[in-house]
Amino acid sequence: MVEYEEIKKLILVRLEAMPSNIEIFLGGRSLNKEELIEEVKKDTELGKLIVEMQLKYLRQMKEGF
Amino acid sequence: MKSKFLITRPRHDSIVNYLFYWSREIIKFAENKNILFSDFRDKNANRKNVEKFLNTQNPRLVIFNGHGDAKTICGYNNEPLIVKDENEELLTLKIIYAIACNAAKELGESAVEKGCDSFIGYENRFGFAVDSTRIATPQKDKIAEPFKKFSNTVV
Repeated sequence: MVEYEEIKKLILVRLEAMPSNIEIFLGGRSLNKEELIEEVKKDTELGKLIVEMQLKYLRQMKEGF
Repeated sequence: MKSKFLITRPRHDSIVNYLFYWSREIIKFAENKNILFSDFRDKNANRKNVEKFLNTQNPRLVIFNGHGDAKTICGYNNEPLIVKDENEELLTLKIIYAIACNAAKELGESAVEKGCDSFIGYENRFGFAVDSTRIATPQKDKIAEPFKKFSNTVV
């Protein structure tokens, strides 16, 4: 079983590779690339949600949607 | 003439501005199909208007666009429109689609317990990706386009 920290590293790499013009509107907030990375690094509630969302996306991609 | 459905479209920040433009497709669809509706846009998406309409017009379908939380759907300037244990009985015998964060978690359940036919919403935060260079023109935002499509497909 992959540890959460390993998953977080993967998600951070994905976020780093994201184009800078992409923002996420989530829960009434607007987050740019740097803010998304910060939330994930700090393990905030939003950061954990971002990790969970990214992981779900990757799993669904693997399963062929 | 009696309206068949109600749609609320506040437009007081960038986020709800996207929902405002996304809903234009729903409105165009209704117009093309001669389906009657009432569009409570901008400042008209307020509690007084919504409560009066739900009480007097009794629409079958209501589409709420706005911010929210587990117990609330909001309208213009985040004024609470429907609040758990305050007025969710206004949703009785209706079909609701709430594009608002978390509203399905408690408000949706309570509304259905009190007679709402169907409450389609989100238990978690509603979010989507956007192109920051297109925030002022959501209708041209290709990154947000898939999110618009899936949200409008529900309707």
